[in-house]
Amino acid sequence: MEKLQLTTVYTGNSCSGEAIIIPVMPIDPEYATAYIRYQTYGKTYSPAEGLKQGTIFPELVDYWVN
Amino acid sequence: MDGKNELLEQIRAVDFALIDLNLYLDTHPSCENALKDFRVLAETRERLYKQFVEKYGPLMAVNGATEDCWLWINNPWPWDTMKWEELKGGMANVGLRQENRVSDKY
Repeated sequence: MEKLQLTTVYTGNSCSGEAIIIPVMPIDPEYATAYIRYQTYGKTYSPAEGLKQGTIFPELVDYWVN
Repeated sequence: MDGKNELLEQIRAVDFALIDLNLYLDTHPSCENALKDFRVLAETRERLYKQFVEKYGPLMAVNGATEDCWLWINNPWPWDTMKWEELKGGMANVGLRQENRVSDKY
């Protein structure tokens, strides 16, 4: 199994609310339920490259489509 | 003219990046790195818009009344700077027909 990936989120915005740590995907997923991985912030494209790719997030570029 | 298009291209790119970050921040309001990048880009956008408006005229109608006259209608419309061949492709739905183009006749 892949290493468990965790990330910190706040129950409000960054100025309010309490910090909680969540896994980016459910640890114990249900049957017949679809999940979307919680995105974490990494490197982003330059604005010019982002406009060309259709997103500023390299992890969202779908090479099967392009 | 080249400088104008380059500046416009930069503005397009920065505006797009801001929209993408906007969407990210909506679901990640606590992400400080994204917030920092958004702030930097918002400043860049401000600077580019100002630079463009001062040099080439209004980008939005709200900037059209900065002088004694209504500047908004001074700029060429998108199709005024395009060739008919380009228009026929992507912008045919605008309904601008070649025979109606005054600029071609006179």
